[in-house]
Amino acid sequence: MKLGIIKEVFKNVFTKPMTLLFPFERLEIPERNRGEHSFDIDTCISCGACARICPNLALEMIEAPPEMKEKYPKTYPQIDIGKCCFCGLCEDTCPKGSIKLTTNVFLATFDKDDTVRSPMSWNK
Amino acid sequence: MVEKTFRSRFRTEVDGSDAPPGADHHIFIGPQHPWAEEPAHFIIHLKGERVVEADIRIGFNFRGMEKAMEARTWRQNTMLVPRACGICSAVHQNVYVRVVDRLAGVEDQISERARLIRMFSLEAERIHSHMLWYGILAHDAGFDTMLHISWRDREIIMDIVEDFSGNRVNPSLMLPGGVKRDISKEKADKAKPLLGELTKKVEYHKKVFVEEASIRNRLEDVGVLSKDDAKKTSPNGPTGRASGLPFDIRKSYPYELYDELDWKLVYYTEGDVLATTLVRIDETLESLQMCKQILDKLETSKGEILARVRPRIPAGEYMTRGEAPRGEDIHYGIANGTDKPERYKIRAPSLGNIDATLKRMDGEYIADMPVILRSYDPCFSCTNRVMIVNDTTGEKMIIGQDEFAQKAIKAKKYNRPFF
Ligand code: SF4
Ligand code: SF4
Repeated sequence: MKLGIIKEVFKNVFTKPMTLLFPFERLEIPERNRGEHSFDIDTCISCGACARICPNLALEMIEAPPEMKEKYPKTYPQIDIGKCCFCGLCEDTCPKGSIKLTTNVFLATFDKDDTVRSPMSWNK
Repeated sequence: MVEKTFRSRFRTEVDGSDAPPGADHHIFIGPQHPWAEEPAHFIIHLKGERVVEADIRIGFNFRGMEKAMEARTWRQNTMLVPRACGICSAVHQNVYVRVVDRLAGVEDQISERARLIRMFSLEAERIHSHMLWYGILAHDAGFDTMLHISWRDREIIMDIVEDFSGNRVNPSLMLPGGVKRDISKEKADKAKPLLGELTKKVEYHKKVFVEEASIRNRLEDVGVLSKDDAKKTSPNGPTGRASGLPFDIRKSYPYELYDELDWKLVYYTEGDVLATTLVRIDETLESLQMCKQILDKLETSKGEILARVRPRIPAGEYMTRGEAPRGEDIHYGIANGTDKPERYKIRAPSLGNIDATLKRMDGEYIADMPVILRSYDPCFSCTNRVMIVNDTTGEKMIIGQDEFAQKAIKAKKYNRPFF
């Protein structure tokens, strides 16, 4: 097999590369991917189960700001993405399915404070 | 010639002052070294170009995970345990959930389907771990083409794992009482042809390792660990199986449903680095056919994938083991009736293989060190044990389990300080 591996090398010269030219092309991310969370404040019942199960204390139950207090009188989870390990336990325990992990994996920020998402401004 | 008595390792002074007689050079590798991705400190005593003896110091990567587990609930720890190791995350999680299943008394409620999915995750992990390893071995031997070929083909299994679980290396599919996510028929059908394709590629990899002279000569008869030496140094996993110790937890003490699958135990008797490679490649092929069997069985198996486990685990203790890609993984948990463990102990496989690897190096050329060191698939997040820092003097010591136990017993018996 003197030529064996050389053949593989030549074959590779003429095939399409394995890598993609990100950001112009990108791989499809499978739908089960555990990425950024989405949160639906209208279905949340403020039970706090998600904050209790989170192993990294990334979720914290906070009150709504005064101007929205009337509409949302209880406490709601605020997430610090920087602490999250994307285990998905919050998604599993939420009795209403308000919190879900999405396929968005582009979470880098320029400012450390940007990793904290308040329950009012979380994407749905 | 006087027969060399077996000298316990892990003892070398950093200045080389207790080096073996006859050594004229001492080479210190690590803890930060481009060869290894992970921190370990190897001390190699040489006479000319031949190794007289080698030693290792570990403990640079101690993370205090066992202590952290005591502060979290059993359920949360399901997600902490897989972080013990980047590559073999599923096996740590599997052994952990089996401990919890037994302690919670739900062992018999776990459905066949859940067990099959757990096994798929374990076998897929073995495939990608072994493929990664022999790629790096080829890289260490200076055969980078093979590194690129094997890592390219490894993407196939990574894609399957990602499709099933949502993450490439940390599938986290298991939970106490079963599994988190089901493998649907569409997903299984999509994966089957890919497994067939990967089998062909791994067969080609084996052909390269066996037939290509440039890599074979580099590995054959290098770092031979004879069966007798293997018995003395008791390696586990593929390292032992390459030296003719046919021991695999999956066969010897079957867990999950390994006794219902049709597979054979791979072992070689040569004991050199080539044998450790071939053991792993053959195991990869074996795991691939097991994965296919599991997917076939999944079609007909039914049942709830998750049994209910109460957060409070009744008091008790249990120890169990599993076959990780690198060897034998042992977990021991004590429950005290609350929702948190009283104590949890992990013995990861790499630690058991160090002594055998140091034995392998005796009498070898220094140029062969990279491949020999690589032969046991070092994983230092697995290996690290305990470092004790005396807070008055700042003195540091790294000690193994036996020494620690002896010191602790003495300290308690004579009521004197630990140091
Ligand atoms: S994914 Fe895990 S770590 Fe992240 S917020 Fe949810 S529970 Fe916490
Ligand atoms: S998000 Fe779900 S688990 Fe968290 S407080 Fe709201 S309803 Fe409860």
